[in-house]
Amino acid sequence: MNDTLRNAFYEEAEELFQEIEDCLLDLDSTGTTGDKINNLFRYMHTLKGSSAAMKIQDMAELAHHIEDVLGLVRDQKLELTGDQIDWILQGLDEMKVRVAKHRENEAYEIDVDAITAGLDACPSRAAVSSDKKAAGKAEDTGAFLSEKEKSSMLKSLGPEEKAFQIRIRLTHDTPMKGARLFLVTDRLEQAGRIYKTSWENTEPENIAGDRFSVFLVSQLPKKEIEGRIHTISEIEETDVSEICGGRNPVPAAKSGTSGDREELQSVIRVNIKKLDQLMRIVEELSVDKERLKQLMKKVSQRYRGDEDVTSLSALTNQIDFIGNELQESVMSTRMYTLDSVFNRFPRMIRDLSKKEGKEIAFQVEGESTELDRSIMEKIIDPLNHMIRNSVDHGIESPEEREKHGKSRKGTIKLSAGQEQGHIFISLKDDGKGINLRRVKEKAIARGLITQAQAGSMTEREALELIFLPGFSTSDKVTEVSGRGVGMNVVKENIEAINGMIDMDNEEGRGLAITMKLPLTLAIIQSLLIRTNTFRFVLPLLSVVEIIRVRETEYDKKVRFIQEKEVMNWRGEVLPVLRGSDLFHSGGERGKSFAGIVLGLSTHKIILAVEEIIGQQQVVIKPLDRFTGKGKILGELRGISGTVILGDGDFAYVLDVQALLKDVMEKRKDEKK
Amino acid sequence: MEDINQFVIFKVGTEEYAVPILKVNEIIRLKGIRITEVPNTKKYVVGIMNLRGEVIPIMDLRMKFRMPKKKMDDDTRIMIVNIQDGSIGFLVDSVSEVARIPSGDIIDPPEEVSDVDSKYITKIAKYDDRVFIILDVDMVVSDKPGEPDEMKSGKGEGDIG
Repeated sequence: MNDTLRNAFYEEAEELFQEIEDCLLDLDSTGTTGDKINNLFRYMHTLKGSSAAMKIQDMAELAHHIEDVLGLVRDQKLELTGDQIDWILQGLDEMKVRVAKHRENEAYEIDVDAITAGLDACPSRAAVSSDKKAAGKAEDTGAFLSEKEKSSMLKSLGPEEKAFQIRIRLTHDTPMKGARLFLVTDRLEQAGRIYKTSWENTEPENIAGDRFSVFLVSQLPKKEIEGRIHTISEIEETDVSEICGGRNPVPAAKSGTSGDREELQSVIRVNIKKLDQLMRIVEELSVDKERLKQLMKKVSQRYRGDEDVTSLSALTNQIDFIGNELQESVMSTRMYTLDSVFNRFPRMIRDLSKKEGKEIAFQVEGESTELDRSIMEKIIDPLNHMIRNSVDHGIESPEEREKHGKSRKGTIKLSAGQEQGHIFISLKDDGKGINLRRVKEKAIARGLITQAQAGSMTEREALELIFLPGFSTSDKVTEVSGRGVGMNVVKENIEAINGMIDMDNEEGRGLAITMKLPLTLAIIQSLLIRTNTFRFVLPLLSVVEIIRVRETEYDKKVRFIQEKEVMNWRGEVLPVLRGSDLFHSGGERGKSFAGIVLGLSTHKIILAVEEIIGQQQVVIKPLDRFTGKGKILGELRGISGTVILGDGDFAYVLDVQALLKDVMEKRKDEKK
Repeated sequence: MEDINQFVIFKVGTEEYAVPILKVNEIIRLKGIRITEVPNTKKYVVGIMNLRGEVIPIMDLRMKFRMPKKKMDDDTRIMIVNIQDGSIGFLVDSVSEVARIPSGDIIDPPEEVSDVDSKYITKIAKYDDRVFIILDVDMVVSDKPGEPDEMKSGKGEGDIG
C-alpha cells in the first residue's frame, strides 16, 4: 500500500476520532439534536468507508454497526442513552488502538462482537427499535437541509407552491442505485422544481446506502407526488412530508453543516518541515530588513533632499511593512487553535470523574486562541497533570461537597486568551484548594525542608513547595495522580518556554493556576540591555518590572544578607545578581544601576545591569550546536542563543531559567 | 597512477599547516567583518560572526596553539571549515595556496614534530623542500582533558579590519 495513502488515512482517522468523540460527549451532556447527530453519522460513515478502503475489516465492521445505530438515532427512531454512548466510546477506543497498531505494522483485532453485543444489549435500544414504525415519521427536515437552505427554499416558493421532503428507501441490494435515483429525479421534475437531493454531490457510481431525500417545490398535493414515484421498482418505501416555515426551530448557531463542509474543502495538508523552512527564510528576511532600515536612515541623513534617496526611503518603508505582514502570515500558518489540545479534556474528565465517583461540570473558554505549534507541544503534559490534579485532589466527592454547603457538582473551568503580547491559559476549580499546613508537613516528612524553614515560610513560598521534585500531597498513589511528579513537570515545561505560573489558592474554595506563555518561540519581544561591553536580550515575558537605583538611594534600597546584595520588592526579598559578575565582563559594582525584576514560573530575582537600551523584536538563533562539554564555545552558562541586531552585531539571549536555577541552588547550599 | 590530495595551506606562527580542501568552505578577508565577542566562553574563541545569516564561532589558532598574540594585518584570514557541529572559522596568520600532494608524500609525524600539541596532527606532508602539518580539524575544536579551558575576562566586542 502506498505510504502517502496510508498516512492520509491515519491523519483522517485521527481527526474523525476526535470529531466523533466531541459529538458523543456533546450529545451526552446536551441530548440528541438534529445537526450534531447528522455530523456524527457522517463522520462514522466516512470512518467506515476509509477503513474498508484500507482493508481493516474488523474496524469497518464495527463502524458499520455503530453507524446503523446512529442511523436510527438520526431518523429519530431511537434515543441515544448514556450506556450506549459509553459503548460507542469504548468501540472508538478500540478503533484508535487498531489504527495505532496498524501504523506500526502490528497485528491487532477488535473484538467486534463484544462491543456490538454490549451496544445491542443496552435496554433503551431494544425498547425503541421494536417500535420502529411508530416513531418513524418524526420531523427532521434538518437531515440534509441546513437552516439557511431551508429558509431560502421556503423563500423561493411561488403562490400555490409548497416545499416537500421526499424520503426514499431503496431495496438494500439495488444494483446501479445512481440510475434508480435518476429515474426518481426525472419523474419528480415533472411534478415541480427539485431544490436539492441528498446525493447531488456524489458521483453516480459512488452512491451508497439505502436512504435518500429529495427536496421538491411543487403545486401538487402530497398524494400526487407520492404516486409519481412509488411505481419505480426497487423503491421499498416513500414518504412525502411538507416542509413548513417556523416549525422545528433550530438555533442559528447550529446551521453550520454546509458551511463546515465548505471550510473542510479549502484546507490542504502541508508538511510542517516546509513551514519551518519558510519560517527560517522569513526570519532571515526580518533581520536583513532591520539592517536595511538602519542603513537607510544613515543614507537619508547623508544625502538629504536627494530625490532618489527619498524614493528609496519610501520603498524601504514599504518593504518593511510587507515584510512584517509576511512574517505574521507565515507565523499564523504555524499556529494551532487551542481546541486541538483542549478537546481531549472533556473525555478525560468524564472518565476520571466516573472512576472516582465525582460529579464535575467542565467548562471551556477561549479554545479558539491560537498558539505556536512548538509551544502547544510543551503545554499538553502540564495541562494534563493540572487537570488530573484538579479532579483527584481538587474537587471533593459529592457527599463531602454537600457537607461543606457546596453544590454536589464541582466545576473545573479551563480558559485561554491573549493579552499584551502573551497567551494565558488558566485552570480554575471550586474544589478544596491547597491545604498549606499539610503541604508543609509533607515537605518536612519528605525531607525537602526543615521544621524551622517551614515556620518562617510565607504563604507563597509554601505554595511553591508543590513544584519541588518528589512532592505529592496525596497519601495514596491513585491511578489518576499522586506519583509526585506532576507539578514538577508542569514547572519544567513551562520554564523551558519562558513561561510563568501564577497560583491563586483559597483553601476550601478552590484553586486557580494561570500560565503565561509567549506567542511564539522563534521571534520574541525582548528587552535589550548592556552590561559593560556585552549586549543581552531578555524575553520581555520574563521581565516583571524595572527598578532604577540611584547612587544616593543605594544604601537605603539595597541590603546585605551574608554579604550578598538583596532588595525588598513588593514584600518579597529578592537576590540581586550583577550582570558583570555573571559574565565576567568586568566593570565596577556601581551604586547606581537598573534592576530588572525577572520572573520565571514561580521564582524571581533582580538582575542589575548598567544600561537598558530598549525593547526590540528579535529572531533567536540557537547556539546549541556549538555549546556543551568539549564543544568549541564550551558550556556557555546563562546564554541560550543569539540574535542579530539592526547594526549587524550580535546580542546574546539571557537564559533566565539557568540563571534562576543557579541562584536557587546556591541559596539552598547556603541554607544548609 | 598515484592518488593526488588537495590541501589548503596556511600559516600560524612559523609553521605551515594543511587541511584537506574538502573541509574548507571559504576563506575570508577581515576587512568589513564584524566579530562579536562571546561572554563566558574559552580564551581562544575570538567571537562569533554572521556569515549570510549563519552564526559562525571563530577560533584563534595562535591562542589555541599557545603562541603569543599577534596584531592582525592584511594577511590575516578567517578560514571557514566544516566540523561535525557545523561551520566554524579559524583565525590564521595567512593562507598561501592550494597544494596538490601525492599520497606517497604524506607520512606519519615523527615523535617531536612541533610545539603544537601532537594530538591535532594526523600526518605531515612533504612538498618540495617544505613540510606541512596536516591538522585534524575536529580534534582541534573538541576539548580533551588537560586542555586550557579558562574563562576569559572579556574587554569588549570590536570591529576588526
